[in-house]
Amino acid sequence: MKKIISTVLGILFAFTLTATVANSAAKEVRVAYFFGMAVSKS
Amino acid sequence: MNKKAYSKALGVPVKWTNFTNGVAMTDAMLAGDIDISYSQGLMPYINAVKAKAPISLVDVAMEYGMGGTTCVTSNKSGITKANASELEGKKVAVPLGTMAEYVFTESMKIVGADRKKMEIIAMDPEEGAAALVSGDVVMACLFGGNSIKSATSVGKRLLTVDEARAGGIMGIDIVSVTNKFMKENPGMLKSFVELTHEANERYRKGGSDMKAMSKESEMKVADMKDTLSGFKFLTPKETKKSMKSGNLAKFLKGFDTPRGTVTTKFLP
Repeated sequence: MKKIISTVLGILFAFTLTATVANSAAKEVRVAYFFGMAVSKS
Repeated sequence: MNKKAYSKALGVPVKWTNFTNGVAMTDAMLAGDIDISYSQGLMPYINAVKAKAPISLVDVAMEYGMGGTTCVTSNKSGITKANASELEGKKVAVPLGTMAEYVFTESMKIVGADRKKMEIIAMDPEEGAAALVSGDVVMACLFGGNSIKSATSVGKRLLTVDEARAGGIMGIDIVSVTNKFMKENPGMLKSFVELTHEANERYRKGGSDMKAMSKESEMKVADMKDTLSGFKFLTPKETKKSMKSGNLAKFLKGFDTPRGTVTTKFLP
């Protein structure tokens, strides 16, 4: 019984972790720059 | 900046925001409005991490002589390096906390003037140049091609580029990132750094679109080329060396920068 509970908890933990990482991935990247100095190299 | 290439490589939209100085970049990162700062001056970065700001240094944007960051005295003031002590008691414009303040401090040591005896007014480069032109200040320390061009229309550099180099003054701009973004998006950060180095390589080989860059930077092509000529865009190998034992490492050590805020793991 203990083993079953432990396995279920393990799966739940792994799922939560995956969901957290997926949610934290940026949907946009916000970049600051100074063009007067750092003229880009397009 | 080939903005579309960044969005494509990172797989999400990349929003670019122009900032007037590196201190404002730090503020925006702390406020949660900016993830990555490209070409942040090293001094604003050092000041930020000394104040325990949760940001890290992941790349060197460029190393440069003092062609792009300098102090200019007005012709009207008659002040040159030969009589620089006459700056004492007068108004000078300095963008505090930036690389220009570092240049100001080091230049005053070289010319033997006491900065504590000057009336230092905090101004962004564009404001400082305007104040020099109008005669409100006798010297303005600035960065950026357009500001320096405006200032030198009514004055001269206190130290030439060669004199500043001989005095050991050099500049480094870096790429910084919030620790939160670095932790949550290591793949995107690596892509960003890799793409930047690809652009550097293209520039070194003369493959950059100068007209597009001129338009984006609001500088004339000739002025922009002149500004760029003072920059050294390092290769990944040179960058790693600068960060571990070269110019960047020495600079950080010289200013007692907290350890553990620099990583080379995102370099190509």
